[in-house]
Amino acid sequence: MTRYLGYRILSSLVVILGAATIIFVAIRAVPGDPALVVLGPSATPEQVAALRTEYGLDGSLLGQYMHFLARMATFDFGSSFRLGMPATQAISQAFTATLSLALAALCIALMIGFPLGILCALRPNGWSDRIISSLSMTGQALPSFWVGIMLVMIFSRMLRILPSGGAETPEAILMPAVTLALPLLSIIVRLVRSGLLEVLGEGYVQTARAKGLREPRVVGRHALRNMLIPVVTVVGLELGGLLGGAVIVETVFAWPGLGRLLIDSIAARDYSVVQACVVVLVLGFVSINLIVDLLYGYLDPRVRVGS
Amino acid sequence: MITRPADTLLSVDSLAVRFGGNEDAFLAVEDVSFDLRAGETLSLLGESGSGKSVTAQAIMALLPRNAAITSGRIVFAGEDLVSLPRSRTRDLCGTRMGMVFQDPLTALNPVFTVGDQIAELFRVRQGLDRRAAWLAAAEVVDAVGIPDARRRLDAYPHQFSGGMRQRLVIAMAIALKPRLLIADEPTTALDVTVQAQIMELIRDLQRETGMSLLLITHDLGVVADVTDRVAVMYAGRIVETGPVRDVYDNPAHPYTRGLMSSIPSLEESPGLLAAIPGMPPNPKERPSGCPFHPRCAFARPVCSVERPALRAMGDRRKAACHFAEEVVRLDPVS
Repeated sequence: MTRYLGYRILSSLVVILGAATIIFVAIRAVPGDPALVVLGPSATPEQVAALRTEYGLDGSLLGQYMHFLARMATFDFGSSFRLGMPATQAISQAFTATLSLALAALCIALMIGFPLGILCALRPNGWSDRIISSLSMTGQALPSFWVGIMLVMIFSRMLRILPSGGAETPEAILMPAVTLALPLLSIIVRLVRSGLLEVLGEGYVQTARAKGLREPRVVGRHALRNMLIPVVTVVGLELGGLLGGAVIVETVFAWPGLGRLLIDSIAARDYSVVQACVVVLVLGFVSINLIVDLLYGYLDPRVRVGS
Repeated sequence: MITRPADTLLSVDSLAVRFGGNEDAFLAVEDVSFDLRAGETLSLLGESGSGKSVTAQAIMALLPRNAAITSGRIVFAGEDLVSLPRSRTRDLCGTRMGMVFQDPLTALNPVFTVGDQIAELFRVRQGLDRRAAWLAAAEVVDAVGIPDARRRLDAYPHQFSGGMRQRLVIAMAIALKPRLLIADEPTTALDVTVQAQIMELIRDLQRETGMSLLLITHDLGVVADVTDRVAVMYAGRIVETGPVRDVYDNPAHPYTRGLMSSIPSLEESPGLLAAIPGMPPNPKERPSGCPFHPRCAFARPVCSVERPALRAMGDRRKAACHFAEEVVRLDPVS
């Protein structure tokens, strides 16, 4: 187990290093000099040169790269050209905002998606199944910018019960979280439904019934645990996606998250913040994957490593 | 109403089970009747698709969602299970009737330890606490001949061999000392050497507890070894029933006779295996008259028109053939 964990952590580091390298090159391949962006078109060449020296952009590319890696090891990404503060400080707030949004969305999706999926599987092709299944298809098809704008129209403009954006009040998280949760919820409903239907046909479910166990226990204990594995995989991947892919929702609701920070920083050629954002996102993604893989072992004893 | 011996435990009477919806519905089991007395063993013998497993599922209330009992009664220990709500029948499962399934590889839940799965019976059904249930589970696992039972309770199903897993399934079925054990092809998925051990185990357990055994199988050898009486099923119906020796030595139904002569004999020259020509009928389009007539060597015109009833042949046998008296007098099959 320790060896497996060591191996997984090592390979995660390689992934992070690769991602850091790619973003380092990619952001510099985008036309536009950060110093020019900051100073504006009226800047003199001397001012530009001075700023480039200040930000450490005057050395060779390889030198900058080595410097970037060396500092990254201590989680230091330099200071932001745009915001005038260390990049780590800039992203730590944004990361907290994004993480709380993603977790809120995940909670909503799980708490609603699971019961609905189970309800569908218990009476396949019954009326509740038909309604829920078609609603979940719709939910997945609706673009989140549209859902977001509709929610704002209804709850902020017409009913005036929720703020249309920002993160100043606790209830401000509700609409962005619901918008973000909707596609995930739809996936979970259909995943739980099909997974449970498959598992309910298995021999051990018959055995559980032959033991005289009540149906809630047969489904809730014997069947559910076996269909968690595919669900955990997808939920893990989706949660990783939620971290980085919330850009649209964050924009619609002016949510001060990582996605919005990343987009703004790219526009401003704010190298340090872009690099910091990407590394943090990749770190989050890799950690979630590792957690999912470790969960497999817990959920399914057949894939337990080293036992 | 036929009078039954006082110690009749299970009495199936004119059972019919329908599968499927309106357009493509068919009867998987039709007019099946048999009795099982306390401590007795009855085999339901038949090919796959003959309705024998469906009969077992009907008794245990384990029929799939698209199947339903359309007529008949299943009287178990004085209660008609057909008229009981499913949840009440479920209460009898495990405590009064136990079931052993065909495939031990899928019959155990892969994500729980075997101890967990067996102890669950004692905890949920008998209200024992965790520790007492665990001890009871160890006792049962020991009783089905798994060495080092107490330590093995912590293992998962995939850490056992096929034969050991079937022992565990049996342990679960008999844990609460049911009066009826239904074994649905308990040895089919196992190696030949293990098959004998499993049947031996079932017989020993039956001898110790005095439970009745309903054995569902297509294995003629298994039937001969363990059974008092046999009921041969074909196309959803019982075509012949009687004491094993009589039915084996002097079949009264041509289908049974065909089955018997398909057993390869060591004495005779190893030539071609005798096989019944043709295939069992599709349950959705069964032949008119006697369902066996297209494959029957003794068929006469009446057979394609009139379905033979299951009628008594002497006091302990029954056969559903127009010419049963002729068939039974034929030379014994080798």
